[in-house]
Amino acid sequence: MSITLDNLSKTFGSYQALEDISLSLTGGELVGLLGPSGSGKTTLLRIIAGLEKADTGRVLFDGKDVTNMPVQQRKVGFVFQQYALFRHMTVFDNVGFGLRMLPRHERPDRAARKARIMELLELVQLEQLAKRYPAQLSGGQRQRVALARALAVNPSVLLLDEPFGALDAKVRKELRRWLRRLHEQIPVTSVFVTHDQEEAMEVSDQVVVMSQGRIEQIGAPRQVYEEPASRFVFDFLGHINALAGQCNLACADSGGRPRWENGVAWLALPDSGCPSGELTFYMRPHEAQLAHSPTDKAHLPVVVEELSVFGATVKLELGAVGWHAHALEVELPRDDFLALGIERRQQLFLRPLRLQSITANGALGPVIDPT
Amino acid sequence: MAARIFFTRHPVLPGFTLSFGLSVLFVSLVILLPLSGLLLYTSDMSGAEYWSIITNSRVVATYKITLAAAFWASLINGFLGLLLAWVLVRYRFPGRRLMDALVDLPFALPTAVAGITLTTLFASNGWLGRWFDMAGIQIAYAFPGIVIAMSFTSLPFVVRALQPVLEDIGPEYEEAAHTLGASTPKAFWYVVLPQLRPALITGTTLAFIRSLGEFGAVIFIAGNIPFETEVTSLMIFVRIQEYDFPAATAIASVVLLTSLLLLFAVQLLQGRYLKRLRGG
Repeated sequence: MSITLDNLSKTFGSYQALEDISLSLTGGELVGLLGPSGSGKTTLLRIIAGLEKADTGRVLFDGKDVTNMPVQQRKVGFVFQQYALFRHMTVFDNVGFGLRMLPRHERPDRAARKARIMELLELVQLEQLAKRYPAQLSGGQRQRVALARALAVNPSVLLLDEPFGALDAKVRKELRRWLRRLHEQIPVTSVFVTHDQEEAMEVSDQVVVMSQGRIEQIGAPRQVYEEPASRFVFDFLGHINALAGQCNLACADSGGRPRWENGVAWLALPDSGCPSGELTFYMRPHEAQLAHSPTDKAHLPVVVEELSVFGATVKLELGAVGWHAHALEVELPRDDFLALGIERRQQLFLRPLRLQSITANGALGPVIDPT
Repeated sequence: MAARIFFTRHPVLPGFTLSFGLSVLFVSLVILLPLSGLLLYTSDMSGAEYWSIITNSRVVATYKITLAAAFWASLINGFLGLLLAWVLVRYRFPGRRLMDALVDLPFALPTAVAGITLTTLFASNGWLGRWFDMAGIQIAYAFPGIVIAMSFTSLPFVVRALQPVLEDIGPEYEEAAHTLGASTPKAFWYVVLPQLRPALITGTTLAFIRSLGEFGAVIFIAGNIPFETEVTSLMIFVRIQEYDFPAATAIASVVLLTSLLLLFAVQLLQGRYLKRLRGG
C-alpha cells in the first residue's frame, strides 16, 4: 500500500514538531526515517499510524484519505520503541491479541487463530517460547514478539519506532539483517524511525532525512550519501572534516588565480564558481590522502596525533600545523599507510581528493577536485 | 556471633548486627508483645467461654454489619481509588500536586475529626444530608454512614497502591492495543486492568482490613444502635467500659485473626503474580 502525506504540520504548544511535510512512499518499500532526536520523525510516524493528529494536512493510504480514520481501523502494525508487550500475557496471547480483537464476523475460530499465531512465531523463530511471559525473554526476543504481534492482523502498513534502539550493538546488527530478510518475505510497506545513520543506510530502500520538522532529502541510501542535497544531510550522514577559511579571488601568490586560505594552508580553486569571502570545505575521512610533500594545488601541513591500526582501514587523527582546523580525521587503506611509513608526531601534507564547498550562508557550493 | 550462623552472606551495610537487633526489638515491643498479651488473656478462659462470648448474638450482629460495611466501602474505594489514581497519573492539570497531597489527608487527619465532620455533613440537617433526607435516605446514624466513614478513612490505600503501577505502565500499552484494533473500553479491560489487578486487589484488601478495625471515624456517624449500626470495634470498646476485659480481648482476637489471615492471603497472591511479571 502506498502512503501519501500531504502538507502535514503539527505543533506541540509553541514547539513546531512538523512543518509542511509532503511525502509519497511507494507500496512495498522499506523506508527509513532518519534524523537527530527532535527532528519530528517519531511524530510523523505516529501521525501515519493515527496515534497522533496533525494540525493541518492529510494522510492518504493508496489514495484514500484516512486523516480522520481512528487508529483501530487503519490496519497498521506498530512496533513501539520499548515494545509495549502485554506483561500479563504469554508470548502466544500477545501475538494473538490482534486476532482476538477482530469483530466477531471476521474473527477466525480458535484453531485457525492458533495456527496463525504459530505460523508467525515460526517466522520470527520463537515457536518454542510461546508459553513464556515477556519478562522471561531477552531484548531481541521481545522485539521479535512485538513484530509478530504487529504482523498478526495482516497490516497494510508496518511502522516501527526506533526498532533497535534498546538493544546492544551485536543483537542490533543481527536483527537489522533479519528485518531486511523478513521484509523480502512479507513485502508490506514498512516505515521505520531511526537516528542511526548506518542502520538507515543498511536496511532501507529509501531514506528520508529529517531535521527540525522538515524533510531534508529523500532518496536511495547511496544517492543520499553520495549526493547530499543540503549541508545538513552531508553533515549528518557520516563523519566530516570541516576546513573553514577565506576565499581570495585574486591571490598574488598564485598569479591572480582564486585561492582558499587559512594561515599557511591554501588550496587552489577553479577560476569560477567560488564566491569571495568565507568559504568552508567538507571532506569525508576517506576522501583524502597523505604525502610527504604538498602539491601545486594543495598545501595543507598536518601532524599525526593519534592512529588506530585496527581493521582494513587505518584511522588517523591529524592536527593542523600553522593553520586552524578542528580535529581532522582521515582513513587510509592499510597498504597506503604502510607505504608511507607513518608514525605518531610525524609531519605530513594532506591531499584532499574531493571537497564539498559550503558558502557563507550555509548552502552547498561547487564540488572541488584539488588533485 | 549469632548473626554469623543465620546470615552467611556478607552484609553490605556496616553494623548489620546492631541494626537487625534493633529491628527485632522494635517489632517485638510494638507488635509481637501486645499480640501475645492478647492471646494470653484469651487463653485464660475455657474454650466454651470463649466461644459463647464471640458467638453472642449482639456480637455476631456487629460482625455482619462490619463485614458488610467494609465490603461496600472497599468496593466504592476500588472504583474511586482507581479513578483518582488514573487522573493523578495520566493528566496534568493545575492543582494536581495539591490533589495528590490531599489523598493522604485521611491518614493525617485524626479519625475522630473525620467522623465528626462527616456526621455534621451527612446529618439530616447537614449540608449534604438534607438533600438525601429530602429523598428519604438517612445516611448519618444509619448503615450508609458507616460505609462512608470507612471508605473515607481507607481510600489512600487504594490510590497509593495503584499510583506507582499506573506510572509504570505508560500510555504505550493502550496505544499498542489500539493499533491492534482494540477500542478504548476493550483496551482498558484486556490490557490496562489486568496489569493493575494485583495492585488493585492489594489496595482494596488493605482498605478492607483497615475498615474492619475502624473505630474513631465510625462511632460518631454510626449511631451505635445494637443489632443495627453497631460495629465490632465499638463492641470491644463497650466490653472494656463494662470492665469485661476477657470478653473484649476475645472479640479483639477474632478481628485480629481475620485481618492477619487476609494480609497473608494478599501477600501470597501478590507474590505469585509478581513472579510471573518479573520472570522467575
